[in-house]
Amino acid sequence: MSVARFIQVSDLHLGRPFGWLAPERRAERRSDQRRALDRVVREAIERGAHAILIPGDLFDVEGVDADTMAFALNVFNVAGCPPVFIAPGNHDPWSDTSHTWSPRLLKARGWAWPEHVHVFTSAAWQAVRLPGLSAVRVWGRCFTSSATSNDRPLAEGSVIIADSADAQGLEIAVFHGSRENQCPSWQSITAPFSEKEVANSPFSYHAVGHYHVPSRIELKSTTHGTSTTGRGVSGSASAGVRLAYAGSAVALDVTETGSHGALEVRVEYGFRQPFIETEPIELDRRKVYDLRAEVNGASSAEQVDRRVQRALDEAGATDRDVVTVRLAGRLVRGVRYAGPGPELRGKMFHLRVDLRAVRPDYDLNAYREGTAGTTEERFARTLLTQLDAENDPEKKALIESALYYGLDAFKLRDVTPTYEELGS
Amino acid sequence: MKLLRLRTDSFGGLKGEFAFDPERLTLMVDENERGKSTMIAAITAALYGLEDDRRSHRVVTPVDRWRPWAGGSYRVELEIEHEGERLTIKRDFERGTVQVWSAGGQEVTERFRSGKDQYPVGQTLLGLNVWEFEKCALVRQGELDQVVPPDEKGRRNSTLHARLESAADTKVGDTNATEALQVLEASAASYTCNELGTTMKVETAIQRLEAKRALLDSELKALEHDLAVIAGPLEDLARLGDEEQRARESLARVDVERRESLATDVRSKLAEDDRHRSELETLRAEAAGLAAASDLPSNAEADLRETVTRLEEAQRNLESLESRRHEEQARERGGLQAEIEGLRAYASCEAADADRCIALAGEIRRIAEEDSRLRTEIFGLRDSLAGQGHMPERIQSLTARFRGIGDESQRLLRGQTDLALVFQTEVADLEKVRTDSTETLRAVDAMRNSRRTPGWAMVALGLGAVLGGGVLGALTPQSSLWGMLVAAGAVLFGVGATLLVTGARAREMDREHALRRLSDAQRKLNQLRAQRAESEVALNEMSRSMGYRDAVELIRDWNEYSRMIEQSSPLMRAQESVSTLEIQRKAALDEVKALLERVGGGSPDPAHLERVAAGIRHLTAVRQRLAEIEKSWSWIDEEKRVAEASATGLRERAARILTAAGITYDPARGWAKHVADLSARARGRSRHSVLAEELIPQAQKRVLADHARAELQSQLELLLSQSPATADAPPVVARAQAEIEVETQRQREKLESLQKQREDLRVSVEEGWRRHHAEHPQKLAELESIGHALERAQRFKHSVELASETIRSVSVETHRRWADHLNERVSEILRTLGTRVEQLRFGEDLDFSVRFEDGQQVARGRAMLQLSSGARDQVHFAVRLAISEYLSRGATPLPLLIDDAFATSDDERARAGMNMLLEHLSKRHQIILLTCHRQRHQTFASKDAELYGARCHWLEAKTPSAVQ
Repeated sequence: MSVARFIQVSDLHLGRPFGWLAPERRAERRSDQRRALDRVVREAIERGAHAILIPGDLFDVEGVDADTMAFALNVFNVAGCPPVFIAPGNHDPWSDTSHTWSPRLLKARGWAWPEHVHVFTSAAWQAVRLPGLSAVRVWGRCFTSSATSNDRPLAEGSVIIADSADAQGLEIAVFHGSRENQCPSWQSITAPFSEKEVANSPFSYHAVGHYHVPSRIELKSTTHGTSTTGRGVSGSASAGVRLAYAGSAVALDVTETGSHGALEVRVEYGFRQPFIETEPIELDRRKVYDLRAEVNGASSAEQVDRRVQRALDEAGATDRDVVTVRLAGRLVRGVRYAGPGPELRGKMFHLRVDLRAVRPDYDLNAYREGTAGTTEERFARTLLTQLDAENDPEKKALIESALYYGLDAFKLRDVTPTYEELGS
Repeated sequence: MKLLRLRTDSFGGLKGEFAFDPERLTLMVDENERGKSTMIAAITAALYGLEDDRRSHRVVTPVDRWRPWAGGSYRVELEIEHEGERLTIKRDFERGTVQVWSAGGQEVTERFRSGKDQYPVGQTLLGLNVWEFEKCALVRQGELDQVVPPDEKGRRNSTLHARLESAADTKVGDTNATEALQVLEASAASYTCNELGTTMKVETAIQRLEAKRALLDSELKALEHDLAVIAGPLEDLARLGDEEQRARESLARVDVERRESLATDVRSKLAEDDRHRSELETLRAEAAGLAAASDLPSNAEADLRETVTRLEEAQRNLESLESRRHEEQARERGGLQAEIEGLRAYASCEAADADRCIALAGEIRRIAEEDSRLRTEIFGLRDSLAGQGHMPERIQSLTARFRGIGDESQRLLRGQTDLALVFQTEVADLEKVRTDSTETLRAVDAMRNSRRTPGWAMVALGLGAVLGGGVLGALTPQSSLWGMLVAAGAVLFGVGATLLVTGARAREMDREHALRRLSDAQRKLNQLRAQRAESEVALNEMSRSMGYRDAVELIRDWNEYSRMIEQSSPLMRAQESVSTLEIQRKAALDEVKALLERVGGGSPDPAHLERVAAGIRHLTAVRQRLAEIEKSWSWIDEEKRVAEASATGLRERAARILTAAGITYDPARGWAKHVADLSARARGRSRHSVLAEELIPQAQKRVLADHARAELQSQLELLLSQSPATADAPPVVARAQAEIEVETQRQREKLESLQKQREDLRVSVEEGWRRHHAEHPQKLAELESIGHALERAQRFKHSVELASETIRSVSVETHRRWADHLNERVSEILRTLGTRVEQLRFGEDLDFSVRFEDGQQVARGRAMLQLSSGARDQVHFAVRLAISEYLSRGATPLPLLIDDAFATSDDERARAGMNMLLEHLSKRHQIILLTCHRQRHQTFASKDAELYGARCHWLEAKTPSAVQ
């Protein structure tokens, strides 16, 4: 029995602009990305990994800045770094004119990927025998365009692995794709595959990228006592973890909560059915929080800030973290709250306060049920009637904003732009 | 609100108290310029106060304007009734104070505070500011048209409009529609956009944001276009890279060719150099073969021939000298042998014997002379000793007695004198030391005793006192005497003990030192005495053994003996010398006798000995001459040696010449053969010289220097190593080096050109790339931010617009309410007044249009131009009345203060208007009408006496307090 170790990392999205961060924080976050990839290499060396698997979206766009490119080309150029297998994804598709992948264009700029970095250059499956482990083959396919692909990489017949003389071999798949019915709402489905296709795949392990949230598919060990890889669509080619998304190496957006990093994949193979285990390696030193705070009865902006601070404290957020606090409730009439104060904002690496669920404390039911004798009451009732009748969320939000601005004008004789985020 | 009473101490020219009838029209009649307008100002001032701000009233402030003309207190007091409450407003404009009192006597001023120190009582009660009050409640001549501002903005901003709306609402809200719209419009007009960093109209902000977004869009597109354009140069870059690679390969091929050519050149040079080196080696080998002759001097042959000639001549001289020497030696030897025969007696003697004879003769003469001198000296010394009293017998006896004693005895006798002297000296010193020590001990003891005695006495006294005190204390314990005794005894005992202790230790060191010296001195004295006693015992024993009576006698003889021995020592030495000379003379005579016997005897006198010595020496000289006869011909030997040395030198020289020429001299061969050999060598030397000086240097010049050859070899190795594949292969094309150089230059220029193009292109691409990545994310983020800002601004704009539109739409009903009222009411009033205006229609903004009797509907501005001034005033008067009525609906009716409103109307219209005021309006509103047309109103009153009697209250300004 032999053991193969891999480090799987994907969706680095190097070169991402991070426009949602404050300008002075963007470079720092890009530095986090680089630090994460650098650590992947170090972990691979320290853990004695036989290869680093990168199933797509190493770069955020097809062409990245020279600094990022130079970093990516050099980060693997470390003594002891194992072979690296990159399957370009939809964000950084491979093409002969790709500034990041084309050896010819890279050479024209005086660059080249290190020799131990193998980039899969075809949308069809290609195999590369792993140096040092002759019984292990790494299969990969790449995206050749950033357009959404409906190709099913694991469709039956898409890959036929010829019988091998070595029945104890190991076949590893590295690709970019979407597991059906598991796609996060903010991501698109491309190169889809089903769990059934995974189960019937001839590969022992599937290192997949695209989804930024880690997930995996496990299969229990079958009664087969020997390797079944290399037999075409055979099914049950392995036991344990059959497929895994490592998720994004670092959180790329405020929606990407939870831990982010890479996976260590251990495969026992040889005179038995391959058994795969994965172990997460946390790479992102920042955590992303999505918190809620009630603002009912808050009578000043400072009080709202204090409630936000309490939510941060309860969650254990630190000054390195990225936090979204969703405020909800009704502010006392006349309290203007456009966002956290500079002191509170300075306590977090990034703090965003979501005011969409915050409403001024107007008694709308009274307007609905009242006699509507005054102009103000007729105004409120008119807009409430429109609001109730409207189905379009954007229009509803607009009507709601108009209602509150109008009521502010009537009641407070003061209108300040506050309700643009309502319900959006 | 009803005005009940106005009292003023002095307000402008107005003074006095005026009571108004709240239920009827008050008609105040006065002459022109008598204070009607002042009264209206006083009422307004009582309700709202007077401004004193010189910034807004540059010419004269209201306070100054109404300052009393004739002095006096500057105060007004107005009594009013409002919603059933009677209030008295007191304002002192001099002091700037205001007081509001209720009917119950309570001050309620604070109810009317607005801001820091403003008390606009009228605004609080009526909801109209001072301007609006003046517009609605004061109807002045010439100002009728000002109730509705001519411009739209003025009408919009009018609180009168808002008051009409509020009045139109069934329930008065916090804010009316107009105000709400104003707030919304104000917020839309002052939208703060952080992305633009300024505050402006929201429409402007949107326009600017859109413009900025468009600009960013175009910039982004330009950047993306630039990036896309880079793809082309990147392809070119790759193509140029390939071309550069090909150019490098071509250059490498040419370079290989060039190196091959160079290698061939180098090889040929090395081969030629090998040949030259071979020639050089041959010449050097020949030169080495002739090297032996190379050192042959140029004149060696001539020298050898001359040397050989001179050698043969020297050999001939030697032979002639040998024959001459043999002849001369035979003749001299005969003469010397004859002379030896004459000295035959001395034949057995040697030259030493002659010398001995001379020495013995001298010895005999010296002994004789020395013996004579010593004997004379002995006689003299003997005479001298006898003169000193020494008897020879005494000397002999003492000598016989003391000569035989042993060395120990002699030391004893010689030491007696020193012993006695030492004994006497040391004993005296030691005695002195002993005496001094004893004295010191005595002094110390005396000192100690001087302290011990009083010490013991005080100790005894102290003990006694203590004992006594103890006894006394036992007997009479109450007495204090025993205590004193014990204390004194203790003190005395202590002092006594101290004295004893100090006495015992006084001069301790001195005492010990004295004791040590005393004991040392005593020990040395004892030693000296013991030594002296031992010496005396030994002397006594010696004197007895030598037969003396005592030691003193022995010592005396010994001393005499010692002195005598010392004084007679010269004589003794002279006698011993005479004896010695006698022995020497005997020995010399014995030797002379033996010597003379060998030459035939004779007397042993010195003269004879000297003659014998002369004969022996002559014989010796002749023998020597005979023996040295060979030496007498030494000049011939000398000459012979010179000749031989010359011959030898010549021979050696010839041999050296031969050796120098490398020829070994062989005596068996004749010199002629050697000369022939040397001649052959001389010819070899000439050849060697030619080789060394001409042929070899020329060959060396042709040979490459070692470093040059090594350089060629390393160059060849380098060339071969740089093109190992072709190193062993034959040259492909035998092109000329110049041609290759030209080709190389051409290829190099091409490569440089490609490199430059590629570098320029690469820099261009990288710059485009860098610019794209430096600006694109930033602009993208900026675009995103601007997009969000635009969305927010649009959302805000749309929200505000929707709110405004909604408010306007719902306020139409409100507008309809007050507009309908005004339309209807104004028309009624105008019909009452008898104008030719049929109807007024008020718009949303309080503006109105006029419809004449003929049905023509015209806008307000045009209607005002078409109407006469009287009709115009009547229209405005009707509008004022209608507005006042509307504002008073359901709330406090406004009082109306009318200043000659019908001055421009004809009598009929004026009468109709007055009737309308009296009959209708005065029932709801309090009306105070001020006029200077007394006659006219009296005429009206006479015509409508009943109406005037019931509804009119005449008030004369001259008698303000008179109420009719």
